[in-house]
Amino acid sequence: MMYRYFHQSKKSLCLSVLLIVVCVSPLCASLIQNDTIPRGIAAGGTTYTSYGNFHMKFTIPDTLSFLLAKTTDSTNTEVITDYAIADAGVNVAVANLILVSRAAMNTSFTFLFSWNELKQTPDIGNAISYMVAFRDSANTLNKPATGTKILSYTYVKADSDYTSTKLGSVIVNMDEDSYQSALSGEYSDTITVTLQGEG
Amino acid sequence: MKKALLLLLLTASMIPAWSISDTETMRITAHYNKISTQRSAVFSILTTNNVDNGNSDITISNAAIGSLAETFRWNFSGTLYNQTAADGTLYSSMSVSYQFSPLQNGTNVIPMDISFEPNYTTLGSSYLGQSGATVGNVNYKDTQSWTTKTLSVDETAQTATATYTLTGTDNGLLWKRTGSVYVKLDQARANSAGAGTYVSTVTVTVAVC
Repeated sequence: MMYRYFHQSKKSLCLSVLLIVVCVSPLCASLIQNDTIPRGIAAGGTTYTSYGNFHMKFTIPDTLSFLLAKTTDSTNTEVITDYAIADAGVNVAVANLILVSRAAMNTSFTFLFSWNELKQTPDIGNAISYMVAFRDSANTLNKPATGTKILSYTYVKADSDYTSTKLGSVIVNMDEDSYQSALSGEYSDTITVTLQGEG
Repeated sequence: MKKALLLLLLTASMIPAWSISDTETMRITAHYNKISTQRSAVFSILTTNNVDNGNSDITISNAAIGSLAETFRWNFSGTLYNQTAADGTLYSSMSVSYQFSPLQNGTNVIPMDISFEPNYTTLGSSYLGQSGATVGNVNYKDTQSWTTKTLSVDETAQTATATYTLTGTDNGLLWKRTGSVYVKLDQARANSAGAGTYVSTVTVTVAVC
């Protein structure tokens, strides 16, 4: 009986050692694989090897801006903030709408123009009504709906030019009757242009 | 006999009862035998901060728009295999070949120029420079040649190969060479390029003899 117990103990010992070896073998292999192995080549006569591939990357961030530039500006960079209207009853180009975007072709941009009326300074209740329109690069005059003071214009990018692009001209047409009957003085208003969405 | 049985009984009672649920520990050590410096060479790509790049991506800086900007370095070291030239001169040589795919995002490509510049060369503890150095009464000189020093990569992949030869060499001295690779992006095309990440794949092949 003692012999059997001793014999079984030896078997258990052997089994345990075997289990330990089985368990630690992958660990041992893992340790070897994770050691610092010099990348490169073992020479001996002529040896050719591929180091491998890697990537060089250059990232251009997306930019999106627009501006109202002088109509006489050939560089599309001269921002205009004031324009003196001299004529009534005619379409006057007061600014160029310039878009700067690195968006891809077929991306659409919607601009919203809003305005009120030309009010006398100081404001004593006198005003001259006027209309804002947009003449696009195809020479189409985009007008607001009758009686409204808001205009929406959507531009769809038609090329891969990511530099400044002139989309068209902002047009102002001062109401002639309103102008003729107005008292003398300086009248002014602010046209607000908002890039409403990009898609 | 009784004494013997008693002794055996006592001995048996001291043997622990093993079972598979026992928890044991065992210390494992592993040693990796690195390649001998004899007849071996190691090539690696480094960042401009001299950090081993592995096979990670390397970023081209904005400074590369319109002017050459150092983009990555390479490092070679090894004790090379002596060859005998026709005139009896002993020499060792290595060449490194780069292939660059166009820097592109989808179908959009930014043309680039790539310039290769040598840095320092040492043999053992001696700096060789362009005119070489005398080590152990033997004059060692390292020469280099590029098939093209500046590479233009536009719409198609381009390859440049450099060959470095060390004459008067002797087994046992460690030859080290480093170089820098500069990139210049076409300014007009980079400024007018669409937003996104432009990628060029660089394939490096090293030959030693």
